[in-house]
Amino acid sequence: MVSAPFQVSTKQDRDVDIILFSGRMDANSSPEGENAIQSLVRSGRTKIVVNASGLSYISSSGLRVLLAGLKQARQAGGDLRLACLQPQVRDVIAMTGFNRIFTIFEQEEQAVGSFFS
Amino acid sequence: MTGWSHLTLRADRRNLGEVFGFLRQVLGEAGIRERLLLDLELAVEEAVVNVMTHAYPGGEGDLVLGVMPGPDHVTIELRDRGVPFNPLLVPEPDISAPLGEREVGGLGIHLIRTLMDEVSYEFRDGENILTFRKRRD
Repeated sequence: MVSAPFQVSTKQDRDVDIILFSGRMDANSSPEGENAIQSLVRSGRTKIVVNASGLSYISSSGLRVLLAGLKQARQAGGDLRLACLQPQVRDVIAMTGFNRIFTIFEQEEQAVGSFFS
Repeated sequence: MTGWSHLTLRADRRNLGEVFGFLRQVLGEAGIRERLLLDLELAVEEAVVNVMTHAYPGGEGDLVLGVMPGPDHVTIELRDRGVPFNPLLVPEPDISAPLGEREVGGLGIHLIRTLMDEVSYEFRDGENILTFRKRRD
């Protein structure tokens, strides 16, 4: 099986930014995800949803990127929320206790909507 | 076929893709299911990236990755001739700490310990040797 490369795309819904991660987020590809989150935070956009529906694999490098983004978004009064976690990503997040510090939703729409409730 | 397969390469992050390619080939040919393969890939990435990042400060060196898909277990062995380092002595991270106190250091070895059934380390004849095993299901 050929594994999919890491890809990032972004979109907006009102003042919430949605980052779609797909493929594999390993030590080599994580900086690309970091750039996507950092460019939002630096421009003052700190209501962020990471849609991981296409993300099949994450390692501690990817977790480090998500954690840094979460800290920065919250310090700026926003948040970084997760949606659509696939089995490996969900398990790794549980194994590291990240499920207790991130707000996690089944669907992207729920995660976006949570910023307005 | 249950013998060892080995990959020797320069301990350089740019070779991580080659590590994954090797694992997928050996474990795929052995009929390892995708979910177990992902667990093994994660454990190997954490161990290998650690060697690539810290084993040869200011210099270059090799690492040797061995994989043996046995009938009941998959065994992985990672060797390097870098700085002696026992990752099993890294303190367990506090995975219940609140956000403000969260550190990512130590998560890699925590993941290896959590995912694998057995993990052992020895320093022998100038080599760091990290071995882990996971049951096939």
